[in-house]
Amino acid sequence: VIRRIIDTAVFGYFALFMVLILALGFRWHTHRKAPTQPINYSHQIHVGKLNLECLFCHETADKSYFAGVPSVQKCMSCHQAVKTDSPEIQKLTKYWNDKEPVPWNRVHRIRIRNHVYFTHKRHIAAGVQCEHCHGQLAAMPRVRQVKSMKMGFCVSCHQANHAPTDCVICHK
Amino acid sequence: MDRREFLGLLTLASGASLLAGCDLTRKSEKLIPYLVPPDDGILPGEATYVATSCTECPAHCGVTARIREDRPVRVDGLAAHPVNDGALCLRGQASLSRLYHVDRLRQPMIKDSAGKLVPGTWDDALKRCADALRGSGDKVLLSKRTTGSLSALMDDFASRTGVQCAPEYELLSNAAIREANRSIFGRAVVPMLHPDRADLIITVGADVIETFGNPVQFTEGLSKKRGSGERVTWYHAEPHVSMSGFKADHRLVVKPGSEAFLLAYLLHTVAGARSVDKGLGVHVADVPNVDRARAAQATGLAPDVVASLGTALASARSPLLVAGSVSTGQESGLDVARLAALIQAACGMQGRTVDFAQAQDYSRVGSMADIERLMQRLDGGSIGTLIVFNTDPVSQLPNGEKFAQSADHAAFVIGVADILTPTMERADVILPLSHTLESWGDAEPATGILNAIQPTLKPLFDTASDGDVLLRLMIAMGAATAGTTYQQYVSDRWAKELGADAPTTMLKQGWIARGGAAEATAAKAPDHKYTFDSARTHAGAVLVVAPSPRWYDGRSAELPLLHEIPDPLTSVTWDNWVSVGMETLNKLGAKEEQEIDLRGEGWSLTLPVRAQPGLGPDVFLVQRGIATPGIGWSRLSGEAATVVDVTAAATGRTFRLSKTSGSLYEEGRGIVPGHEPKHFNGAAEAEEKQHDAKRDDVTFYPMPKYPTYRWSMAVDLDKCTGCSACVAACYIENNVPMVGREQHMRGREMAWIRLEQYYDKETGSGDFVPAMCQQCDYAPCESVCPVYATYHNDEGLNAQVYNRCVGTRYCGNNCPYKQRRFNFFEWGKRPHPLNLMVNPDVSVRNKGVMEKCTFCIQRIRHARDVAKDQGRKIQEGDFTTACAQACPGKAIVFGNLLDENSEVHKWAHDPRSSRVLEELGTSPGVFYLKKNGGAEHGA
Repeated sequence: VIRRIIDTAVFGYFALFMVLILALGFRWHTHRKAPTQPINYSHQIHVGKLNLECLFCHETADKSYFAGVPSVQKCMSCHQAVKTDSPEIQKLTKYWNDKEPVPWNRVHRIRIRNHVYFTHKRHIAAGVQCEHCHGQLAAMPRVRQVKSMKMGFCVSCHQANHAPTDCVICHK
Repeated sequence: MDRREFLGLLTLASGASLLAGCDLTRKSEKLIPYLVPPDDGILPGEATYVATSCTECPAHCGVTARIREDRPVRVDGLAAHPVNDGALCLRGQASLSRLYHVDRLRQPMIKDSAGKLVPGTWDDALKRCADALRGSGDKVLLSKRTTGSLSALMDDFASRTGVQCAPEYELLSNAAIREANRSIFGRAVVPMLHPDRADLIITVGADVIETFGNPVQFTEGLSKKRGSGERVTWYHAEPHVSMSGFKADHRLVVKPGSEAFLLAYLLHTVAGARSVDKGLGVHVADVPNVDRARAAQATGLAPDVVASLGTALASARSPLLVAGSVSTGQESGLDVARLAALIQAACGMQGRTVDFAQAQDYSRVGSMADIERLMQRLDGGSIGTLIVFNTDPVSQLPNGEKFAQSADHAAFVIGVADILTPTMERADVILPLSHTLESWGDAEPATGILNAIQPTLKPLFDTASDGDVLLRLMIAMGAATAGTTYQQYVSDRWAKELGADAPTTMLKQGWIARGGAAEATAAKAPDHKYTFDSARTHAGAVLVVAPSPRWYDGRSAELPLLHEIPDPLTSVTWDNWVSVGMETLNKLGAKEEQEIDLRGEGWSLTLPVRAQPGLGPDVFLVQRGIATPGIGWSRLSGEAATVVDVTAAATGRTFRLSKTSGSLYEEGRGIVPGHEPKHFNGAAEAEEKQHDAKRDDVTFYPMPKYPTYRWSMAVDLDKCTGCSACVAACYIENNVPMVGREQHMRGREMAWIRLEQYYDKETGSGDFVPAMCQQCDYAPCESVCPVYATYHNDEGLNAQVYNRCVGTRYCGNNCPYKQRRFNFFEWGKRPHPLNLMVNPDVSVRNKGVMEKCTFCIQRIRHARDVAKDQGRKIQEGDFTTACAQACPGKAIVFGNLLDENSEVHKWAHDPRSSRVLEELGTSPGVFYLKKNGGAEHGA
């Protein structure tokens, strides 16, 4: 009897795992949660309502591999005067007054970043729209990753657009 | 428990560990923006470059630091610098690992009541120093060689605080050369050498391409001359084997201590053949006459070799002769230095090949006599406080233990250092030094040239630059200072001495040339008595102590990277050893890798043996660095002794050396380009080999197609000196792991490029073959990879996808060049701050992954990016690999083989060009130009 209980427990335990893993495997990337940020910044307002250019804030996206996060000074160039009574902007003002950078949480991650070379600059030069990888940010109050950013996602687009598919173009 | 139960529990346990392994709560990664963006065009993710100076050895080459993400990730030679022109030696390359050294002192250290050094604060440390410096007894500061503003500040410090600056200490002080030049020409300097202007080079004992003078500058000049097609013959005379001997056209093995006879003969021959002026004639007449037979008998050279050397020197249009290092450190050292100086004058070398106007200024440096005097003063108890400033006499001096005992006689010892050395362990307070890359300052590689030293990152720890340490001491003592920071001091001094716009030029260009000193003037009256012909000669066995190509005088032995890189001459890595000739070894009854006992007057040393081809009978050779037998110094020359009598005995004990090469010979394999494999001994077989090499259709794989680029490399073995700068450059550029002695013993070294040394059994010279991945057209590694992790790309690279590799190691087994390295362990996790020494453009490989050279693919990628921005293809000169960039001899070229105007295309189609193991049908992409072997520059 004890043996049967153990057997059932082991089987049930693993069956549960299999179901969990399969479920996660299928829905993992589309269900990544948007991380909470130190300041409740909204792309919906800045891009959707105010129509700011992406490059206005992410100013190195067409110059470097790194798109760039706007400096606190950049934020303050508007928010010195704009919406200074909002509690979120007051958080920003506090960072600025304390001479502290805002510790944003990274949203988009390539899991094997150590092994992949990706450059924003070349993709923008080739005319790839930001939304293609980052989704409709104009509709996102809080940003989350919508594409898998895995090799298949990259290669399918490279193939479709006759971009190089040599492994070491990306793999480093 | 039965089997089922066991399995059940096992699966339960594994399931639990799987659950624990799942990082369900992913740690959020931070994305930190700038508070205020930098305004000088710095882009996040793009490298910036800062021109500064190398201070790893006294040559002070100009360097440029490549900065990524606020920290330097490489140092390279500064292009167009008047001394080293873009090249940098292995010690310079490795100096980056001093910045990120795990043993760096992180804050001031203060000796507590129990005599243990414990971390303290600057305020406390400085207060104790100031109290000691105000206390009783003399105060003496002993520093390593300083130049430029630091020398000026030292003098300021001395005059304002009453501390005496003892003559500066350098183990390789060139004291005999300076004394000779002083007593003959009134100029106590070490002149710069210009091999590019010479048609005959004779070097005696001085390892000019590795440790003497400015080796990078000499190698560049020599390489320029050898590549020019003009005639140049290089003779190197020495009692042991050095890199210079290995690479000279003719290596002359002389009996230890007999160099003066050879030089005296040469001087008389030259003075007889060329007209010398009267002032010099007096000097020449003063030299004991040595005829050909005497010179031949004393040196052990054949009389016709001696005679031909004399004739060559007498008839050469622009000869270059220099003696130093091993030859000037012995009892007759001053005679040797004087004779060399007289020959230089008699042949009119001054102003042409031997440059007094651009000399290395060693005027502040003392000789061994000064160190002895300091030790006597310490023993006498007259010195209350001793400041040991950024130098380590205890581990470097031949009698280091004695220095340590003397230092203990001082009531208070202040140490200033970056790493806790044996000298620093004696200190009561240690003030931690910043690395040069964290400091302001300047350095003088030669008279009239001043390099800027400027910071490339904020100090990693609570340290201060050398100048700032002096200023802080002055402030703590209440002595008025010229400025509160060294940055201000240096900048003011530049503006004052070099003109108002000098500070800007210095920071941008990295150096400024001002007028050099005067040439050497007429000879003074002779005041020297030659003793070499009456001195006692070495009758039996001798020990030669030579500077190390890797550790110089020992100071660079602190850097693990320079133990990881093999000694170019013996391939020994992490161990200390004594080199012995085969003949001597047989006589001793010892075998390779057995320990032998070496005994001399008052010292003994037990070391394992490495058999070294080319060493004369009864000669034992050790390198400075880790073996420091108490062999003293030469009273006559003032230099640390280099040749001493020794008795040797075999112990019979075996000691396995860590080395990368089992044999120092080719063993008939025909690896060196131009050498035929011995097993093809019949003409028919040789023809067959030729035939095999030509047949591109012996493979059933199709010939790879290269539409635009075929990246290729060519190496000129004539220009390669084996210095291993390329190896150090590769380690740092490509995040190649350092694995330590134990792994080396298992043959698991990770270097992507290695220097193979192939000796000629008779002569003791030979070839260095730098070996990197050969990027074969028909690469044997590619076809055996089961997961397509290594494949051939359409630019000719054997690319390696690290995160696809599953570690079968089939490729490593199938590579005939032994160029693939396997990560047996997770080497990427380095302790702080060594984890900062990572090139972000290159991945850090994981455990279980094969890695190899891919011609610095990150640089290809960057060049492609820049070229695309400009709407063009990558051109010749856009970039080069790390090894080619570092090479002081410019022996490596890299480029696109399909571009007919490229340098690599020219070299690959040179008649001297061939490829290694071509008969295997691998069709490598690396070409080797065999040595000229006398056709162009030999005699």
